[in-house]
Amino acid sequence: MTVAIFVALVIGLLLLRVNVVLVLAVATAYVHLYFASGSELAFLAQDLWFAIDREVLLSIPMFMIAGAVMTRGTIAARLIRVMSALTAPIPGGLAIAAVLSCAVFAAISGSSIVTMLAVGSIMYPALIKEGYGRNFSLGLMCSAGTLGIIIPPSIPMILYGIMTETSITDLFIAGVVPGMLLTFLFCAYALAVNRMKTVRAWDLQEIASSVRHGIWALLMPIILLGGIYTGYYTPTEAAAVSLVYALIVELFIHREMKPREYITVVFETTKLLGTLLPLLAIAGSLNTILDYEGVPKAWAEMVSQVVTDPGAQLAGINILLLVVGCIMDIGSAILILAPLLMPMVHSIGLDPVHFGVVMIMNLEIGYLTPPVGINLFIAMVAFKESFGRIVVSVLPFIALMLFALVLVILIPEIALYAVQAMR
Amino acid sequence: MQKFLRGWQWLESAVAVVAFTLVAGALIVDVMGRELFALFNNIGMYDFAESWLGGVFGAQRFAVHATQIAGMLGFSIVVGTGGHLRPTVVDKLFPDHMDGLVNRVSDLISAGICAGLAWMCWDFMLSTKANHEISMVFQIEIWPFQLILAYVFASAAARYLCYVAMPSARPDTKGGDL
Repeated sequence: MTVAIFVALVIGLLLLRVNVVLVLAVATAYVHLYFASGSELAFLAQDLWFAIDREVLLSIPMFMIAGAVMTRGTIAARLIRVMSALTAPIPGGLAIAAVLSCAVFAAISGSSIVTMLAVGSIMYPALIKEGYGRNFSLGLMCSAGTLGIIIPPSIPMILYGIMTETSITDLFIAGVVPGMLLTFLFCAYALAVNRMKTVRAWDLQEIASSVRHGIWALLMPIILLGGIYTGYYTPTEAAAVSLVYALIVELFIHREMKPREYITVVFETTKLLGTLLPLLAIAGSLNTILDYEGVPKAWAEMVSQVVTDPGAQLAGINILLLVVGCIMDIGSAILILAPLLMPMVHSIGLDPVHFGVVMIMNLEIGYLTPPVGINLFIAMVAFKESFGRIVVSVLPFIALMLFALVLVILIPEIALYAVQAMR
Repeated sequence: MQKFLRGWQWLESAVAVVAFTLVAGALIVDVMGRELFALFNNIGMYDFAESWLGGVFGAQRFAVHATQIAGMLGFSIVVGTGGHLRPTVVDKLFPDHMDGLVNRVSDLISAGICAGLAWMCWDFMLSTKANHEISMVFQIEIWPFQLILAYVFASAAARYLCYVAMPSARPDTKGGDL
């Protein structure tokens, strides 16, 4: 009866358009009151406080604000110019330039939407003007945008690291090769589809000029990720450095951002953080009480009794994540599911860093699948195309992403080799 | 009432922007300070540099408290802009003519939940105050920082109640993502 009331309460609140964070708060309070032994409501407030009283959280607002600063300037345009100049002699060069620009921009920004908008708003009209297929161009921009969360720095990776107490640096290292694999697959597909397109010879003058204008943007991922990978600074410090670098480049070198715009940038970041931080705090409380009650462990034991084959368990987890990716945003999915799945991940013998990459790759596909495929909705507004057309356009790219996901699951070294080499 | 809500939003936003700037400033000073004093250390000024090599004292803790203020104020601000995450796909379950009623009920429930959270956080803050719990870094009582939790939930509850009383002031709830 208690469980039935709990489920009815959650569904009822969602149907009545109550925000996810408040529904989660009610669900957590209910768990404290009726499911947990020896718990009381006061623990919820205590958990909320402990969840937001941690240094590890500092990297999130810093990466958000640095990303917002860079999106306002012309860093994306400068990267696109370099990539377009370099890929001119390849059939489908502009499409490949779009993918590479997204990949490099992803190494600056930690967000999928920011990456898609920053590069797509320039590249999508350019692709159409150059005669690339409308569906192909749409699918390409929506999908390449998702590289933003697999290529580090990645805000979902930070969230996963916080919720499962996994090294964020290791996750950042592990995300590089899978991100490059996806980039390669997208480029190969772009080449295959556009193999008959006419090409231009390399223009050395244009290459030199574009590199000269884009050098500060190109240096950004090197400084940011190089510092983390060499252990010179922590992800939190890297986030602060990236903000300083972005401000110096935009305010004093490119001079395309006015000091007044800083307030708008910070306000937008505050809104993002205001969405995320309470969600993180309440999900943290829910996970604390569930962990205290031994729920994830009991659940893992129950599943392993029903499904004895570890391969089938892993397949089940992946199917669950793909389905969850379709109906939940990636932040909420990681905050709620990552700690719950951890005992099962351990029982299968999966490395938590490997699983982090697998989880994010699964949920990354959710950016492209209805009903909650956020890139689809953003693309609908940004590129002024119908929802149906966008859904169809991303299908070949989803197939490529699933292929990459299967490879990363079957060959853990794709994610873990670099981590083990650097340990 | 809309003017009042806008002013309120502006005030919270201003505090959040200042808090955010302090977070960035504290972290930057911490990293840059550490690098600068490492330089002093390398050129032989050991006594001067030694105590600063781990970074600027308390900078990260200060940044954590400023993030708590900026981030939690963000919760209330996002209520004002209608940006909190929610599955909009289920909106179609109610016919269009019922939108106004459903939104009002939603706001009333949200106000109740936020008020409950505010009361809980206030109670928690009082217990911390009674126990004289202190910040290990700054050696000051921690409860004034915890006030932000009770404040933002109370602020959000009041805002939702304003929307119940005056639905035209309600922002579009378009949702959002990372």
